[in-house]
Amino acid sequence: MRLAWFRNLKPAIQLLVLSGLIFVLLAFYIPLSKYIRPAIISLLLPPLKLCEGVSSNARQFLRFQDLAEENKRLKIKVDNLAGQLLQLEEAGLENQRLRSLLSLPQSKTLQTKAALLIGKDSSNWTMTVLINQGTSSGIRKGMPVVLGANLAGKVIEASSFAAKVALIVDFNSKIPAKILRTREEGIVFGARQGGRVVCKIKYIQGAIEIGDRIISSGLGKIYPKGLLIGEVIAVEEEENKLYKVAEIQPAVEFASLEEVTVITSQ
Amino acid sequence: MKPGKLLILFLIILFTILQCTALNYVRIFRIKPDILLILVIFFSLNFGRIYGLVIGALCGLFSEATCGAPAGAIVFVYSLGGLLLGHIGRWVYDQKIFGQMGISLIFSFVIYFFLFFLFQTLDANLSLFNSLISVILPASFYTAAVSPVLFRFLKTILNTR
Repeated sequence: MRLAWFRNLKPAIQLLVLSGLIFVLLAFYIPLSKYIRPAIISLLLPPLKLCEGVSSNARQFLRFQDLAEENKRLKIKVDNLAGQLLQLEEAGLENQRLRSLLSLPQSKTLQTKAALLIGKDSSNWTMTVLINQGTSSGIRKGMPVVLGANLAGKVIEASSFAAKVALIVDFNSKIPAKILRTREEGIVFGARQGGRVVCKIKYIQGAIEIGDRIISSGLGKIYPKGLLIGEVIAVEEEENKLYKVAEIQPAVEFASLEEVTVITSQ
Repeated sequence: MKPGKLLILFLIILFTILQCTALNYVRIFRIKPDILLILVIFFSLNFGRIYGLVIGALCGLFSEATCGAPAGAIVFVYSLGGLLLGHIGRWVYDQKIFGQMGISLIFSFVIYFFLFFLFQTLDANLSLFNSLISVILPASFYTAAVSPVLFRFLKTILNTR
């Protein structure tokens, strides 16, 4: 047998050889992110879409009685928002006029693509979601993902008809941010605190208060400027440290997230 | 009797779909049982180290494809874990030192602990205490608690002893 020499080795050495082999293969030869992971997502896509369809219908059926009341509330909200929208349009036009007077470049409008969530993270470590739009709809790796004007995350992998989005509460996320009130800059990152997932901001100096709003600063050119990340809910006071940390309640309610918008062009 | 390749692939796909959808409704403190890890434990215990290695690698691949872990991290840990458990697990199981739940608990704990160190090495914002309290321990206990039910299901499907 060709593998006889391997079987004759001591078990510990067999383990060592195999683990080394797996490590070398994974590290240098197998293009996991480029081909294999997108292929697996494509394979899982039809059953995931089916499950999402079933669960979405079930949710709607269960919420049927609340819909009339929600409809009333939303109508009132729409009336209020229509008034605000008019004011904003007015302010936008004024902004454009003033910019042209000062010869400043006009701010670009964002191009977006709506997407539905078809699955959530399979592991307990990371905080990602799968969405039903991929490269065929113009979605690319690195594109920011929002819910309204609130920052939700960014695309970290895209296959033809689906993409994976790392949420801002994921432990790998690092977002250049700004404290809205003081304009001080910092870095927002995801963290776990007991049984909760939260965001935290690391900043160098200055006063931060509970209730302060944190927005994306636009540095790094991944996330557009001015998207709301969340509100400060606690300040961690630690002396003799170069930086300070504050806990943020994300503006997006991730537990009930069902659809998002991907910013395809900034 | 050794299970067919297609059946194994079907089980891995089914478990991945459940992991990404249905299990989100049984989360406790944002933690859900890792049923792909249970699949690795089952195959390692019942069919030996080669099955442990291969099923570990496949489950790792499917798990990684649907989460944000760095490429190769979960594949590496699950396949090595499957190999190791396939090597010593049957003996431990036959000695009745630990039952199914005990083995699942210890194995999940070791795998999650190893994953923590791997993520930490790959520049993640994780603290040991927080990870232990909020992920490693609860996920290990939850996975162990669910394992007997899934073991019974898998035994019925695969017709093993």
